[in-house]
Amino acid sequence: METCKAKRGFFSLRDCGEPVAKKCALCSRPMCTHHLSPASGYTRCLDCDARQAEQKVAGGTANVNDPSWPYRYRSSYWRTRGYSPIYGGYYYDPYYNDYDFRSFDSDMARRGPSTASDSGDTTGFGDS
Amino acid sequence: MKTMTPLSPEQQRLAQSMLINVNRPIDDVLALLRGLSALDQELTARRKNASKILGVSIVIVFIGLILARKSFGGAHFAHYIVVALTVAAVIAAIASAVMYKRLKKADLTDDLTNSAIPFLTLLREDMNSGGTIHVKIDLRSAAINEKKVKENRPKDPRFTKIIESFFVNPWFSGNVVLADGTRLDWEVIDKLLQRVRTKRNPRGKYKTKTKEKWHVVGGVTVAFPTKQYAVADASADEKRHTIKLKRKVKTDSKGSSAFDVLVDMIAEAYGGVAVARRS
Repeated sequence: METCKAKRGFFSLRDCGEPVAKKCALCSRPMCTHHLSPASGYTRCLDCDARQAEQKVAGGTANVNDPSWPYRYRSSYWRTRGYSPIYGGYYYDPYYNDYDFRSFDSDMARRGPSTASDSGDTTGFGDS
Repeated sequence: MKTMTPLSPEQQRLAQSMLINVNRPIDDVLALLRGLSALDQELTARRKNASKILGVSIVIVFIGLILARKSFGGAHFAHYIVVALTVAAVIAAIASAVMYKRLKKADLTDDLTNSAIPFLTLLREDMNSGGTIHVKIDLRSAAINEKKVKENRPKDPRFTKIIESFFVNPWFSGNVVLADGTRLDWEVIDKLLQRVRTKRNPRGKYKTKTKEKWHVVGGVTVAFPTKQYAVADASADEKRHTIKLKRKVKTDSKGSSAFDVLVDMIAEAYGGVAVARRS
């Protein structure tokens, strides 16, 4: 079964893994119901919504009850403060290349859990 | 007090006691707090309306008294109208003053909306679905007698009286285990220096000015699981690397200072860890 390709978290990231409901109209990634933006009529994912409505970190707690607020805030915070969240999932996704992630296991992040190995010093997920 | 915001019996009880101490799933905690925040916004709007009505009523009373005095002795219809309007304005002024006082008493701290809810909303993203969190919030004002630790009164208050009061308000704390196994404890203490200056001018009129200085002191303890994280400068036992951080922000108006301080400190703690390889 295909799973949602969104990454959850603010300080550290992980794969969502919920069943897919729809593909995002902008990035075409498969998303679960929680990661589709209600404001867009559930056509765009929360990450695309956040990138479109980039919000400044200063005074950024307005509309905190909006489901896309944590995604807008994290996108803005990571960019403006230069914060690199740690990624604890398995699936490399070039969508997040703009952010400088630190991966738990770079090989595993690249290849996925089935082909993960301990060896290798190659740079991995989002290292930039 | 009747409100438009629908509240559960627990929310009504918390709105009265203004003290929250819960240990339950994050979604339940957020639902509880969002209800209280909506109530606070409604009461604030009503308080502003009451103060507007009070101001307008006082102006009407003042004008009414002048007009009534000018038309005193005449049995004109206009005189009765002026007197009736003035009496109505006096009643409206008294009612709105009483309402304002009651609403002011029920006011919850803005920190709930500006800092606590945004912080918990972010933490929710780092928690497992249905994960529990322990949260303690004191929604009372920082400037109450119970929180006053020091007061300096002038020795000679003939001309200018300055009263300095110092309040300590530990209003927000809690702990949670995040989805990556990291244990997080946090606490926010507001320190308020309030200076009330009362001065008598040459015409014998008293004027009072209040100035406030805030110190927002945040502290976090982030305990990273040693299986996933390697930390250079941290106390460690077999299972966890522990990083303790503390930060103080000086400000004249608080806004979302506590939220910013907490997020920055936790991000700093995460920024200081290296990623351990999985075995």
